[in-house]
Amino acid sequence: MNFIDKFFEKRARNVAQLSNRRGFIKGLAATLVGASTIPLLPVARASDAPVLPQDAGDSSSCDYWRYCAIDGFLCDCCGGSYNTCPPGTEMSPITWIGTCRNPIDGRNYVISYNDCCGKTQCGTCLCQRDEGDRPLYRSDKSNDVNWCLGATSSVYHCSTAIVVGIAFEDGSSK
Amino acid sequence: MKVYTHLKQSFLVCCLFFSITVFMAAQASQKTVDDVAPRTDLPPLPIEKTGNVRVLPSQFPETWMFVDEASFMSMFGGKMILLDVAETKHSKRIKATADKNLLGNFIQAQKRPEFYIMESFHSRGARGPKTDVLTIYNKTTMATFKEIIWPETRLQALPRRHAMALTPDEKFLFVANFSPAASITVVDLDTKEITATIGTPGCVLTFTTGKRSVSSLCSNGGMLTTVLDDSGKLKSQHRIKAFFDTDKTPIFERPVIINEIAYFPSFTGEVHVFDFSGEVAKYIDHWSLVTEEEKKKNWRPGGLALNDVDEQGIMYQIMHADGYDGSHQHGGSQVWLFDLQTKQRLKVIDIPSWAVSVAVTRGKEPLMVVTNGELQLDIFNPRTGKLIQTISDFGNHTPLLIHKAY
Repeated sequence: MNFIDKFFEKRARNVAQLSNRRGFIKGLAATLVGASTIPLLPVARASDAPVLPQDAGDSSSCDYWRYCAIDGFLCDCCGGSYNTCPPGTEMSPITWIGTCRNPIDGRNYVISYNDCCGKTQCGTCLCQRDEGDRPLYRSDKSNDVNWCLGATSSVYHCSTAIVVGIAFEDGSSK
Repeated sequence: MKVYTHLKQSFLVCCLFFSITVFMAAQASQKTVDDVAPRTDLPPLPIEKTGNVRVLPSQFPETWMFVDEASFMSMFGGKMILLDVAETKHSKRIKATADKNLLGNFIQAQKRPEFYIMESFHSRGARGPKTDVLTIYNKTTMATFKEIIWPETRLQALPRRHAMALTPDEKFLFVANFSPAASITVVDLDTKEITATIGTPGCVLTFTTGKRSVSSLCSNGGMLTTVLDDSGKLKSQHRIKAFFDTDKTPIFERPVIINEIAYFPSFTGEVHVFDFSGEVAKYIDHWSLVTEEEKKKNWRPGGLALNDVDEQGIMYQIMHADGYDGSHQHGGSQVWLFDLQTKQRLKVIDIPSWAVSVAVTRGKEPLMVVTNGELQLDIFNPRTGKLIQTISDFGNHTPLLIHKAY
């Protein structure tokens, strides 16, 4: 078992201890039954209701879709969120990026992994996915660098995962 | 009156406590007498001098290694630990330590009794102005010899062997900067003064080339060689054309280098060979670590410090099966040994506790040191593949890289 697995296993055990599988199934069943009892109104609802973008998943879990290229502590577990730094830290404006697929809409998004800086390592929810990660010679895609080099303090605390654009296939004119 | 009563009670309590203490001491004394009769006929121990500090030998034994304790969980606790990996008695393994703050970089000279740590400090822990500093140590006293306040933003990243480099005669030290603009700062080790900072746009790290040159890997998949004059200033720069695609066929920036020939493994197991013996780096060829059958099972190189080379020219490479996009830093279950002359695989060693990083000691009978999945050190005999011992509890939290010690 590698050291990343060790961290993941610890995280999974914590989740297992704090959650109840039967409770989840019961809740899901209640939701489905409830949904089926909502009357289908004879109106063209789709044309009236705004279609909102959707994001889904547990942002404190390393499996969350935005974290596909991450290597660091998840700010979601450190007092911040997937796109917000914890109180008292500073977000580095310089960073590395990844391209991750949102399973809800099937689009690829450019994700900016801005580090939060100024306090020593958060020390929990270490997540290393590394998809698309490249060594230092491609610094725009390299998560080995301490990107707090762009902040007032170079002390690394945790990493965010911010949607900064939609990724297009090579050769696309868009 | 009330105060007097209180004092009286206190006095009685003290007397009781004193009596118990005397009784216990007498019992203990009696026990000692019973166990070992004192040899009062012996002369007393000599009076010892205070202030003793050990000094290390001028040449370190082959089994000593510098362990880079990166302190990934707390950036202030980084250090180099000089460790005898062959020692079986725990209390005798650690030989010395040197602090290394905020993911510092390390390199040791072989001809000079020195090693160099490039590190950073904020004036008040995580706050206050930052100072990057090159700290020069004397290797036998492990004391700081000189500090050079750094004019640039030095490279701060996971530890690696090529964040700094020395010219073959050890006249000049190259230090990688990254702000993220890339440059190299040159230090004259005779005068201990900076001679130049040279921009290396789009190219990073330091690979010693020829007598007065240094090469860097570039974002276009090529190489840049920077040539110095004898005063340590820029003479010329030369770009070597791209030899890989940084998106589609990436290589690791962690080669093994022996006899001025560098071997850069790719993510999928190709080895790109460079000749660093001339004034300018020269691409030679490439070959594969994996057979067609192994490619089908996605056997790939992987890890942090994922390879090393011994003095016989044998490369030690961490490998993992079922590789995928993102598995390249996760380590592996085996170490493969290759003869770099014949390009033949000599041996496969199973690593029972996973391998994150690997290193080998100096000498004709080297030991293989693996940072395992529990972040301890597994020491192997690479000839037999047998695990000799596992070393832990030496101040290790994240010992991510191990260097030969000289």
